[in-house]
Amino acid sequence: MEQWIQLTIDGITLGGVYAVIALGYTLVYGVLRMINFAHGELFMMGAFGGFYTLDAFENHTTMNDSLPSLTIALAIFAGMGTSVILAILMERLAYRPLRHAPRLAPLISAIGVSILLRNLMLRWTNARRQVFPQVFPRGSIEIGDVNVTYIRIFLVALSILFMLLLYIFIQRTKTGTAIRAVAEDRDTAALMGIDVDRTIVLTFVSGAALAGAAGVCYAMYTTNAAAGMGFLPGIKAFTAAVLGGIGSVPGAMFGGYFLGLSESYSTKLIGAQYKDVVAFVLLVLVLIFRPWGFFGKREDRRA
Amino acid sequence: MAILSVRHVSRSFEGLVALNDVSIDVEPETIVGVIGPNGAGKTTLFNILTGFYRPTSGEVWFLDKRVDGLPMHKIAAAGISRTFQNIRLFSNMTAIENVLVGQHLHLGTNIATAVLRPPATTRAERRAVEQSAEHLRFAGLAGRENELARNLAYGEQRRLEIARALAVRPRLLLLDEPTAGMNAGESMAMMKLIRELRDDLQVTVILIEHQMRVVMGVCERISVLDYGEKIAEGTPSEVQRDQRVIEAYLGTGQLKRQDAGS
Amino acid sequence: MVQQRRRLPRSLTSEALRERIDRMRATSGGAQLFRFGPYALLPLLGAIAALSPALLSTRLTFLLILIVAYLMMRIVDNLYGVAVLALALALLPTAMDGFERNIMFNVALYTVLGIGLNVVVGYAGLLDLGYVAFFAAGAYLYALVVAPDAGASEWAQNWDLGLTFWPVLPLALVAAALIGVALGVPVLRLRGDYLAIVTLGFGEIIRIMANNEDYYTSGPRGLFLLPKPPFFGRELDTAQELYFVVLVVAFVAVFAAERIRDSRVGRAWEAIREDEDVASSMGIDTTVYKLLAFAIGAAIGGVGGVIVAAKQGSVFPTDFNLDVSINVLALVIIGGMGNVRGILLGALLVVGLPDVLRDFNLDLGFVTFQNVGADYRLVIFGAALVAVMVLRPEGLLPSRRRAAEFREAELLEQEYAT
Repeated sequence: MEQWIQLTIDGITLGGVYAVIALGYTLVYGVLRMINFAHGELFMMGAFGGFYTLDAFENHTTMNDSLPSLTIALAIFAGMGTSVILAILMERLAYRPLRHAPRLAPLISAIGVSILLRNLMLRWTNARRQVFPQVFPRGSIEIGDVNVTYIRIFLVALSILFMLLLYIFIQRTKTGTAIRAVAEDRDTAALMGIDVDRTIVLTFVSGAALAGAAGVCYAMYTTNAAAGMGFLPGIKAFTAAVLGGIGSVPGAMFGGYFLGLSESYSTKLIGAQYKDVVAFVLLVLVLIFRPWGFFGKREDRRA
Repeated sequence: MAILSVRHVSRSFEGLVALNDVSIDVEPETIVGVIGPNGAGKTTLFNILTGFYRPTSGEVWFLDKRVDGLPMHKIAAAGISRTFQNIRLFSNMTAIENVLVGQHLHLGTNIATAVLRPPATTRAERRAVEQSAEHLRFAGLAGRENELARNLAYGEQRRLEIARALAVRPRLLLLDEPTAGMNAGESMAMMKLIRELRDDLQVTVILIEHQMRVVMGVCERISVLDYGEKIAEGTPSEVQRDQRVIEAYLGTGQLKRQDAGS
Repeated sequence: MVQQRRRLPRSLTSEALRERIDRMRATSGGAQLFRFGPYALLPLLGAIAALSPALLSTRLTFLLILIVAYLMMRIVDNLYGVAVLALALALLPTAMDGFERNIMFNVALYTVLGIGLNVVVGYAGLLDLGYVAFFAAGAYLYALVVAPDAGASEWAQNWDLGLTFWPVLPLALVAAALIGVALGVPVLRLRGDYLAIVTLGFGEIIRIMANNEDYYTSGPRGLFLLPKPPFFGRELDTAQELYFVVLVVAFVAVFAAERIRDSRVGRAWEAIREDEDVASSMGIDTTVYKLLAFAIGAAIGGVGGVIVAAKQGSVFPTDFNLDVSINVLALVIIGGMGNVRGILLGALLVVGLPDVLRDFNLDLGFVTFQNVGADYRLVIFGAALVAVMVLRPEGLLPSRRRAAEFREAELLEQEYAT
């Protein structure tokens, strides 16, 4: 029994990470109808942004010891900043020039960005995993026979916090309304005086900020950062976004947790070596039977 | 015996009713007009006839075969072909290649014969090219065979759509606003072409049209749609006198404006 | 007039011919040069190859050959030209050392893969990011059905099928096509970008399976000591001999792919690429034709897998990672989607050039990039994919058709702007 509870906790932890990354896919898809293939690399670059910041502060042990929360916050903000800057660059250089190009063009460009970033970091790190500094307090709490580490609790709480913040941002702020308007109908939004270019950049920025933060947290959780770390979480988060219905914010959250839990349980049911296959199988099944996802709007073919 | 029988067809989009219980019978080798104000459901009707949409309820029978809900390529094979309101040519293919795509159903080349090119395939391919040239000439596009579709003039593009649709060898041809955006002279030529389709090729024609001069000039029967319902049907003169039709058009002022504006 | 009409059909159905006529018209004065150009270049190629061991470095030789081959490809598109090119390509390795022959082998192999993927991406417009799956299927098939040696898997030992290279080739062709259909059936109704991710997933699944299904694949230990292709009582085992095999396969693939493109099947693909709905209203069963493209692409990939397994004599799961799919995609796109000359150039640039520049160090004064060809190739491909899409979306040597498609988007954009 406690094994299942443990798996559930694993799944929720992982699911939170997927959900936060999935939000980035969903937001960008909403406004541009384009899958940002390089989103997983933003996650990875965020982790490295946090890593190198912590690396620079490594000798300031006094700060780490006396103010661990400040160090953690610093790392997360550094990760967010890194991803945001990269997202702005990639939107400007690789996607915006292709906004009216055939569908295949921005997709290939995004794949190019993804390959570029991943291999650049691979060279930069000499293809080695970087051990992430142990900034988060070790330790855990016992609930019955089940052991939950602090970092997991932190991860779950933070992912929920981020999702709430994003939800408020999208629903309550003026920028959020603009994003929704552009997602609904770009031309009409432009006629209403919304700066479409700026809104699209802001969409990338919000998605990237979430991905960067998730990257740092994930690296703290797994205690390392590597150039290839964005690939699988990226694909899985995309699967999560599709599961929930791409373009839908609550859908991405649902999809993330659903996928996290399925994957976690599958390690017990099918075997750990095939856990990465679960996401793909789910993706194919959803795309065949319910391509608009669980929360998405069914899009009729246009005449 | 009707060639096409639309029976109590309805279609709604997320609760919005685009067509409501529409029934239309079309006799072979007639030219039928479908008119009505914008948003009356005319193009929706075409989309159902060609398999683009599935009707929410009702049936479509063509040549004694039920065709509603069939995939588009099967409906094309059954003998229904169409043109599009917002011209949809294969714009980076030449005029004759567009028509050759229309001949798809009447060629048998598969991968093996494509690679090995036995004499029969070469002959069939050559015949298809000659026939396509013939279709182009019929549509008044002789000499434009090797022009890319997107480089053709607007009126020529409309004609190319018809030539391409003819290559499918349809028994029923659906023309969605064939004279939209044309001047009086071009419209006259198009009307002549539509008559030839029926007279020379024995094709049954249904057309959606806003220019009343065209509708009244070329159609033998007219069905009038308004807000997704068929409000009148009959010969041009019957329809012109129909009180509900006059009301529908006066309500929007469309009859007058369309006629004057064209 | 009569003559004109009789010539009409061929010129209408063969894109290559049309292109040539256009070019002739544009440069009527230089028409003679175009006719004799390939022959003039032949001695040049020979001279480079003959001089290379004595005077030039490997790197320089290859660059020169690349340039000459590029020039020939620009000019050559008639039968004689192709024959000359074939002859040149066949003679080249005789004047090369082992390292260069290996490069030529890889270029030819990736040309085959590129032609296969081009059927899917360039002709039918379906973005397949898991092309490696079919490549892997072919390679593992070979490893499983040939006469088992000490390095064979348990399954192969148990069954001991003992086939040789030649019957496995068509077998792999069919098997990979079937796998292509099986994978394609559930996903080909999907929109393009979903298809890209799902195929990416398939590529990964195949690799994960190869890693875990020990009984069949021996997992990460791999399969080895695979036999070479027999040939009249002896074995083809040098890079040069296997290069000829792959060269022949490449020519057959080019021939088949071009003929299919110029047929009813090719037109159907093109129509689907342009407007899928209209294509099906013309009576084209779009699902069947997309599956067909997928199957043909898969079949060619499977054949490539058999050849590479035979050449290496071994198969490991790590041979089939995502990089293979990326390399093939990059060469198709950088060279120019939808046409064969572009793929040849793409293979030279994407596969040949990095190998030549393997240990090349780029010193920029403030920073030095070491082993550019070996270590930075994927970085450069990534950047190149973006650059090609943004600056020259039709690729370096596009088909006229594809250029038109991409330029159309640009014109639309300009219209929007004004």
